[in-house]
Amino acid sequence: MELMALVEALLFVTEEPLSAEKIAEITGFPNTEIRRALNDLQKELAGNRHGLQVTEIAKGFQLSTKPEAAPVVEKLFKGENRYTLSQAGLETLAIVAYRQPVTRVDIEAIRGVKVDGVVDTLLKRRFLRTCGRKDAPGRPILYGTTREFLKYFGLKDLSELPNSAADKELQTQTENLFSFEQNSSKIS
Amino acid sequence: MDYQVRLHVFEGPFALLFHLIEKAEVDIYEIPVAEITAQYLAYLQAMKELDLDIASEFLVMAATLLKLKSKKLLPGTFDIAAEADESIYTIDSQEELVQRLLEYRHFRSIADELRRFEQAQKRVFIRSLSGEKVLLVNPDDELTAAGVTLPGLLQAFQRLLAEHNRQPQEVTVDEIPIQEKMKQVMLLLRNKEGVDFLSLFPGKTSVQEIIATFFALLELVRLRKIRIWQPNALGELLIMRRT
Repeated sequence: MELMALVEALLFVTEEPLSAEKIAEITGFPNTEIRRALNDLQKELAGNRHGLQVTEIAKGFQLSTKPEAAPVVEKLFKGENRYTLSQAGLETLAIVAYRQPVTRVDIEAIRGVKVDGVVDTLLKRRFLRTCGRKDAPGRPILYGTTREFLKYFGLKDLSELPNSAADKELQTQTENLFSFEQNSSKIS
Repeated sequence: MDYQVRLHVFEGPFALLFHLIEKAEVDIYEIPVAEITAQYLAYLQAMKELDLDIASEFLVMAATLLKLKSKKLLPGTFDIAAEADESIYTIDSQEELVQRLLEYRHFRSIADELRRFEQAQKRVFIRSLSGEKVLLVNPDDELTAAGVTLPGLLQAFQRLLAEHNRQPQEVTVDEIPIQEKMKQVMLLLRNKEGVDFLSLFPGKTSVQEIIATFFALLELVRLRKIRIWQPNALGELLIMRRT
């Protein structure tokens, strides 16, 4: 059987996105050949004769239905009643995604409102995780995003977040402004 | 004359400030602090008159605006030493206020973009977990990988009962109606989106209560009042109110 076909079989069965490395480990073929096989599979499935696609998501590869098939596939799930994020949840996730790791207070400084409930919900839904504590008074908990977050938004990894250059610029501005104030008042 | 006061409820002080700035059609870099402060306070006053709860963040912002206004009127009066105690989270100058507003606006638009990503990803489906798992959600409902299965729920209850059997008990003859338990569960969910499964069994719950709760949960799921999630394969269950 061709490597491409083996990879297809693996992607069909897996419950989580599989990395090329993992596939290489399982099949015993080198990484480069796996990548070529994935590429071949993507090309094979392109066009109108296949309803499936191979996408790179959450640092791995996954077999899924094409968006064009959505109107029909949705009917299998009988209705549109699927989970969507609240606006507050979305805005909070946005902040964590770009500025991680962040504390609750960092998030609140940007949103202008308390985020306790929202953060708890996002933790429960596994979009957020804790990643240590900040070296500051009170040792507040730091938060970051998860693989579930990447999967939910269809992202390969954090580099696919839109407008990250603009964000970096803004973040630098903010940091300079707020810490400068603190430092300058110490000098006098 | 009867008139209705319709007050738009803002999520937070930044949202309100943005509304005022847009309404005044001014550049965010050239905010007329005195005017905006007056409008902001007028809004809070209206909220007060309508007996609406004003979140503390709004009041903190009011104080901030007044501080900025005062600084403008009387520059140099403020004690630099006092400012040295301020954390990086407080807003001490108009420049800082503008920066915070810029960040707020930036993330609002990022959230819009992420919403588009979310909706796009909703059109993509992966193979659903197959097998004998019957999901404890109404078939007309969404199908999610985190929905708990009947064996999953039974396991959770078995664990609970096993735990319970280790403790000495009184034998009671009380019958606990399932309707009662159902009301209790819905009451717990009144102000929250979801509760932990274990919080349904505080302290010394009797076996009858545990079993009554089991049936109460099944009935509530059937009536589409709740959903039961299991975020990790062997982890705690989450009871969530259906909106």
